[in-house]
Amino acid sequence: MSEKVIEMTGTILSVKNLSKHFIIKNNVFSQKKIINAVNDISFDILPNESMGLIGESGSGKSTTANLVLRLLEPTRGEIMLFGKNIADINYKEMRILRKDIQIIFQHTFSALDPKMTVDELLKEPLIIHNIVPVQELDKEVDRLLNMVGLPAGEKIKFPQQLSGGQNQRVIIARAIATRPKIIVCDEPVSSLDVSVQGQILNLLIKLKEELNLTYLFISHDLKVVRLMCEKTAVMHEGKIVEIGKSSEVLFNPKHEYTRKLLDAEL
Amino acid sequence: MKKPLIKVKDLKVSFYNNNKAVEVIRGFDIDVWEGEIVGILGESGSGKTVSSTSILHMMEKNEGIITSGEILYNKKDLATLSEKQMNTIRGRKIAYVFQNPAQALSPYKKIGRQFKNLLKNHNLKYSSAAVQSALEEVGIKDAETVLNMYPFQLSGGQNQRIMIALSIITKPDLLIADEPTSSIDTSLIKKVLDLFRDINKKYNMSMIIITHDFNVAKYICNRLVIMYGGLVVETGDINSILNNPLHPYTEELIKCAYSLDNYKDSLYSLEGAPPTPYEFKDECPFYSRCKIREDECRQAIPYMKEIEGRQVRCLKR
Ligand SMILES: Nc1ncnc2c1ncn2[C@@H]1O[C@H](COP(=O)(O)OP(=O)(O)OP(=O)(O)O)[C@@H](O)[C@H]1O
Ligand SMILES: Nc1ncnc2c1ncn2[C@@H]1O[C@H](COP(=O)(O)OP(=O)(O)OP(=O)(O)O)[C@@H](O)[C@H]1O
Ligand SMILES: [Mg+2]
Ligand SMILES: [Mg+2]
Repeated sequence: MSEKVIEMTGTILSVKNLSKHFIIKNNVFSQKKIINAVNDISFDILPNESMGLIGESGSGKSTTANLVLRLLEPTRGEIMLFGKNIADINYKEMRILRKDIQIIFQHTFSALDPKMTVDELLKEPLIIHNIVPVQELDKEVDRLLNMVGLPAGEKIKFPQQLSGGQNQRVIIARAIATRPKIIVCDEPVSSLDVSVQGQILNLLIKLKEELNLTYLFISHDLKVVRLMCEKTAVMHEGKIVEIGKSSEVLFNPKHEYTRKLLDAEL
Repeated sequence: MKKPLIKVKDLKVSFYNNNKAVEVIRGFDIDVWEGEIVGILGESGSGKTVSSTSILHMMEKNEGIITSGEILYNKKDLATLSEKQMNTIRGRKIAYVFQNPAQALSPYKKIGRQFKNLLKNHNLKYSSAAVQSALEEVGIKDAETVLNMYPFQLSGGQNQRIMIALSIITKPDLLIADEPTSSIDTSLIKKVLDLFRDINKKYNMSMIIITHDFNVAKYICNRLVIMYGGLVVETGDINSILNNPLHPYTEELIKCAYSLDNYKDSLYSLEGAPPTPYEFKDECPFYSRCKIREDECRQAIPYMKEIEGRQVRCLKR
């Protein structure tokens, strides 16, 4: 019993028997079809431990991310975020929790409002979540820019005036602005060229140490997962087919599907 | 005998925002031969998407304008064609796979409807068997169900592959694919690239593949075009570029890719950032980050030099 309590409070994120089913109406025969996008998955993420989520396209990775962020309602199962079941909490409580769990998406250009300057983009989450007193906003924006390696002079620019890599830094600065404990990264570098990928990954590693962060890291690039995550889960058709230390899963896979993924690396 | 299919010469593109013009593409040159696969690589923001979409007059929201240059295809200069004339070429003779699925797929139309509309626009016959097999070829399982789904009901990688199927079903002369494998996993990347290779052989279809993944380029491209700061900075056949890059930027890019493949403690990274179009100057775009720079590199944008059948925009070579 006491072990269980420690386990529950000790995890950042604990997912149990989580499922999400979508119903598709098939016009031709007016039949309904159920898609088991996420099918009875369970995993735990400990503080400052990052978990990679890999697997075939359509295997349910983004759906899992959206469930954990409660952007989607689960069909079944439990999502414990810092020991609280987020399926049970109301909108207001979720809003408070939202500052502890942030997201970084893939498409850098569509993720930022083109009508807002970098300065406004960074102040927005600071104001919404009341992170610092109003008179300290400017100082906080400078601190965030410095953390992600952007010169303070870039503040006055709009997203389309920055490169893809610089935009990704702004997105990361926004994500860390609320001082989250966990960041869900859905393909954070896959649209960037290799020189910028290196810069951004080095930055994410640095921030993880400095801010004691945990990542749930979705990527189809096994090299990136090897680099970023202590733990890896492999999804296939809505299920987690293999989970364990990255050094085991990615170097000595047990499951046939994981082996297939590793063999296919170009 | 091989013949050139398309020849783009010194293309320049500007965007107009609030009545202010910003030149984004300062010099884009590319030749693609019949049956050839050319790769474009380069820094994020260097102009790969804008220059290749401008071949088909598809710059975002029509804010972009070709200010000079030629796009020679089939004895015509595409840069001068009207919208009506372009409609017979776009999607039929030259097809484009967008980097971002949201740009190409209509959000409120089922996938089946999108195929029907495309084929109807070009007076081609729709057959659900042909469409289903095209979807299966790009690794879409249960194609029959997918035809009845909307893009928002599909995953990132599924939408990306549906766009690929849409673009090759008309059997164009030239396929331009913008990061076609950036949201799919390794086993599907191989499947899609093998498919590209098959149709390239079977129909002698030429291709321009925009990618940031050297492994993808190595797997299917014959030749590479490297871009930086709105300019082509190097072109040449793939092996010479990979084994002996001429431009200092290409050299750094290959080092970064190598470090990602064989990392030790931390990744090799190229410090600094490329100039954005608002900061463009008449000097070498790579000047601020270059290890072999000299004062003369700041006097003008270097011209393209020929070196043993390759081209490079660097004074020091
Ligand atoms: N809103 C929705 N309605 C119906 N089906 C959906 C919806 N969202 C996702 N799906 C289905 O759920 C499955 C999993 O999708 P998901 O986006 O989670 O995949 P993924 O693993 O992130 O794939 P990718 O690597 O391609 O991004 C897919 O078969 C998809 O069609
Ligand atoms: N509508 C627009 N208005 C103004 N500038 C634009 C517009 N679209 C693109 N740009 C600018 O043009 C430049 C080239 O962009 P482009 O999208 O071609 O880069 P890219 O090489 O494809 O980069 P990535 O690898 O990130 O896709 C960038 O500096 C971008 O900010
Ligand atoms: Mg996804
Ligand atoms: Mg692009």
